[in-house]
Amino acid sequence: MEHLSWRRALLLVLLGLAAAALVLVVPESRLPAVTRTVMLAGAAMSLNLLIGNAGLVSMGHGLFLGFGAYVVAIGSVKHGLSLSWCIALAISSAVVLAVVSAIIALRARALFFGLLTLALSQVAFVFVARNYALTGGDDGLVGINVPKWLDSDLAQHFVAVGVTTAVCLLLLMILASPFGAILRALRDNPERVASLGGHPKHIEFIAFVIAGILAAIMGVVAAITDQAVEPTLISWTTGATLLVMVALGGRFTFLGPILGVVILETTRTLVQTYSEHSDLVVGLLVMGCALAFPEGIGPSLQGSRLGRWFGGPVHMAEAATPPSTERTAAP
Amino acid sequence: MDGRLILAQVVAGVATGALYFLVASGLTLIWGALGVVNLAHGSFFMLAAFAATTLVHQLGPGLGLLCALVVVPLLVLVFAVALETTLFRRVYVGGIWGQLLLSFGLLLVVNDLVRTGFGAVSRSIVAPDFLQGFVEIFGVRLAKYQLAILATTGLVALYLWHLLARSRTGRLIRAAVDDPAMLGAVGVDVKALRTRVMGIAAVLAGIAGVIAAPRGAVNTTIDVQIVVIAFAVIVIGGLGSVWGALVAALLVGIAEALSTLVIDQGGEVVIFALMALVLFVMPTGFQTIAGRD
Amino acid sequence: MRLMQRDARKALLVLCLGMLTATPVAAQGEPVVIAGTFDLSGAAADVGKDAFEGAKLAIEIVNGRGGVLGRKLELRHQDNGTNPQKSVDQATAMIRDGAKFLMAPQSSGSAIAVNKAVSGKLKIPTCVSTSTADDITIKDFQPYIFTMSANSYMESRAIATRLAKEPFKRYAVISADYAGGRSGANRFKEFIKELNPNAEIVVEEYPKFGATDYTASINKVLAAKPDYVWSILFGADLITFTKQAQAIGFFEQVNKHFLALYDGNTLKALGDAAVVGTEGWQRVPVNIVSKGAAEGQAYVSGFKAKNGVYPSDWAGLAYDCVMIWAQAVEAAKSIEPDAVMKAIETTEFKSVRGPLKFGAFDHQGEVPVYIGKVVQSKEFGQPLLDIAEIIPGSIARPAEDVVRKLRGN
Repeated sequence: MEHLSWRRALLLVLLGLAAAALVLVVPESRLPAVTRTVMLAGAAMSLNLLIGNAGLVSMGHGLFLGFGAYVVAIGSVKHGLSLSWCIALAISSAVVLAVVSAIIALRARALFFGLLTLALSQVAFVFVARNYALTGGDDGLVGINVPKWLDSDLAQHFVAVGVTTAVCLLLLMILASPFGAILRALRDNPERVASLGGHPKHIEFIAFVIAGILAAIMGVVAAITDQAVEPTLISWTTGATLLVMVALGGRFTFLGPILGVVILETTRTLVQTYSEHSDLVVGLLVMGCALAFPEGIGPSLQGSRLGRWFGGPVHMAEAATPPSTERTAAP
Repeated sequence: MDGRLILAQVVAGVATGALYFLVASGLTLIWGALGVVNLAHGSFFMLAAFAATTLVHQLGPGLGLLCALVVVPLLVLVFAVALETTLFRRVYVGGIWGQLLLSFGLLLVVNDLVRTGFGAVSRSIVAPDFLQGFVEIFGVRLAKYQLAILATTGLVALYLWHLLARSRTGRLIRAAVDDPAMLGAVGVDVKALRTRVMGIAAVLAGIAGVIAAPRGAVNTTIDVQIVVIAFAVIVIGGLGSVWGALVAALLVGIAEALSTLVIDQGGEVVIFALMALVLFVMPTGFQTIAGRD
Repeated sequence: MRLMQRDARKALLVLCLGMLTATPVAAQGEPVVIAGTFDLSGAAADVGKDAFEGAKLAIEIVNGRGGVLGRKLELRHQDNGTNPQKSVDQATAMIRDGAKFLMAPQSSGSAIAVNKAVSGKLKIPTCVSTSTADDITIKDFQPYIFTMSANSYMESRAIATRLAKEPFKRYAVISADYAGGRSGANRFKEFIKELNPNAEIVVEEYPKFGATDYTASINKVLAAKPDYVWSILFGADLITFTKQAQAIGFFEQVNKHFLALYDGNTLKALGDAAVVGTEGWQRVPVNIVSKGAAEGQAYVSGFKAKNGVYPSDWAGLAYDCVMIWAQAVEAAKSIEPDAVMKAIETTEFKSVRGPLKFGAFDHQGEVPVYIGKVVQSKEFGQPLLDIAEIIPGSIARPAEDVVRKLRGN
């Protein structure tokens, strides 16, 4: 495991460097779109800690992403706090939010858990979209102040890449640790974990909180790179989009979520440049993938040489047997 | 806030809830009984509403709506069966993931095609003459059209009850809700059953779309709007339970309508708050399905 | 040898001269790029599509006249899916690729974002066609923006000015629950009380945006027994409200003393269901502009010839954006941002809605607000507003000291 981990870590760093080096290839005018994709990739990776590894299908991950972004925006735009204060505030309050929503959401199981997270994010969405004085309502907040060194597309891209890489490395460490092993064991066979003396609820709780905090950190990145927030970031559409990205890329492959984000976001951005039918093209693409790769594209790459180098599964063995929690929903 | 206002609100809430029921009942059947999660279920509703506006524009309010009520659900049925047999059938094997992806993609595709075909501008049709205006009961004005929605939904619910209680398909559906694994084991053609239930669900959504059309604006946002509410209804009512969905739909409709009397920011937050509350207290909804969590 | 040297020198001279003149010649041949990020899909697709058609028509007409400063115009557009962040990304990209003028997106959230994050930052002349958000010209004002729609201050002021002359005292306020609606409602409440000290607001209702049932709002408004119902409902909300209110006799009950934002598309969609006798306001009423200034006539007939239908308000606003910018370029004799914006501040333009000036301190177009009663028009084959009063922008607009006060300086 250790050896594997080192190779993976190196790969991640190389991938991060490659993403940073995109600035040499991508025209300057397209860079913000690329930066946005990197931010979403980090968010999808944090979501997959829940989906692929804990078997918790969260549909409301936008809650944390939006929360992180909104705390920074409110702090900066409404109260004129400096960015570092905003970030500290965002992350510390995200811990509280993650703990509270974990307590609520984890009461429900399987798909009901997903729907409960969806309901939570929708309640938060309506709250944000209707509190005009605090959040700017549906117009959102524009004009987040960043320090001078951060006020360029280049710097923002590097920050997004840096944070996303760090988040991925952290996730890799978590998954390679005994905790990661328990998490997957729990996903596949909760009774066994319990009978061996583990506390399934505690483990899931910790995973949920970590994923929530990491998503909030990506939300901070979104606030910094966009210098603006708007409420759809919190709504279920963001949560559902991230879910589809993870599913499309492959939830049982470590880097699957990134693959899903890159494919979907690049397609949409490109199509939008030329046509108003991005929904049609993205929709057909997703349908095609559903038929060709119901388990996501990542796993189908695993057989190939490319796939092995791309960073095969953290848990190849489990990929063959879909977790039990999902079977219950699909008799 | 007097009693009459509350009564008017309750009637309005029941009428809204009736539409929710028509969409949610089909969804709860295919999901609860056959494990099919169709995020694009609201697309049937939207397609039906647009088709109804076209027929009414061509044939006039009376004849047009009557035709729509007969023809449109059948068209939606054909569409749903075609989708089920050509696309959905291929992804059941992989569990919910293939279905989530497929139906999410479908939702986007149908929405784009409807926008291209019917335009992005909201459409509107008038109700037939005899359904315009109101009746006054206990000094409360009740819109005739709302009552017509209630009557239609009542008829459909009766038919549904008949179908579930008396027909072979109904028995199979109930059996599937109780124990899905048994169904295949005793030699039931689950494949055909899925197609049939998907068809029934689409017809219900189609009827809802047609009767909802004269009530308000028809545009390309109603598909997602209704399906999200339908999921909330299902969760509150209990997966696979048609009658649970009925109670939940009315509850949601009434809660939404009454809440607008006390809070000034629309009712949707109430739906999700209710959903979160129900799941928090009863993590599997009101109706717990044996053997599945 | 000498000959050759002289020839070489001559050739060099010709080359240099050629290069000197070649640059402007090449530029003259190249079209001027106008960038537009439109809400072509997503929640505001109905508005975005029309704005796009309006902009396209304007560019065709300008090019038909030979373009600006002898150069043709080229519209490059992208679909932002009604998403503010996408709008910002797309606008930024198109400007960096050489666009000289930007059409802001249609929804308010996106327009506000583009105003702050693109227009001001990249110093690019930007026209806001449809958003009425006050912030754009007041709090978030930056010198490269100009707006073609009366902002929410102006519309509310115009309506309050007109209503204050009427004997109504008890007002009801209805708006969908969104930032623009809330701000319009707040301004109206403030102005009507200021202009008519006897006026009081007896009930306020803010149903959710895109609501499917308005029974509660309708009944609550009726229960408060208002003399006049002011609303800022439009589009799908106005259609749904109208039908449900009509069904229970709301409009008779309030003697048709009801006002809404009856834009052309909504009136057309309502068709026979439009409540004749209720009042409304509009941004670019086709029945007025088609009979007014020459520019208005050319616009309506051009649009009808091209698209087979009469244009909506949204098309007219976007059309004016392009036309005004083109005139500013001609007046400035330059496409450079600072020269163009200077011309915006100092020129009197010819718009679809007649002569038009912009505030030097806020670049707010001093466009009129059209108020009238709903009628069924045989000529246009759809319901229209029979415009009773045209309140000039110069009267409705906030004065310079008011703007400075609202900006907090």
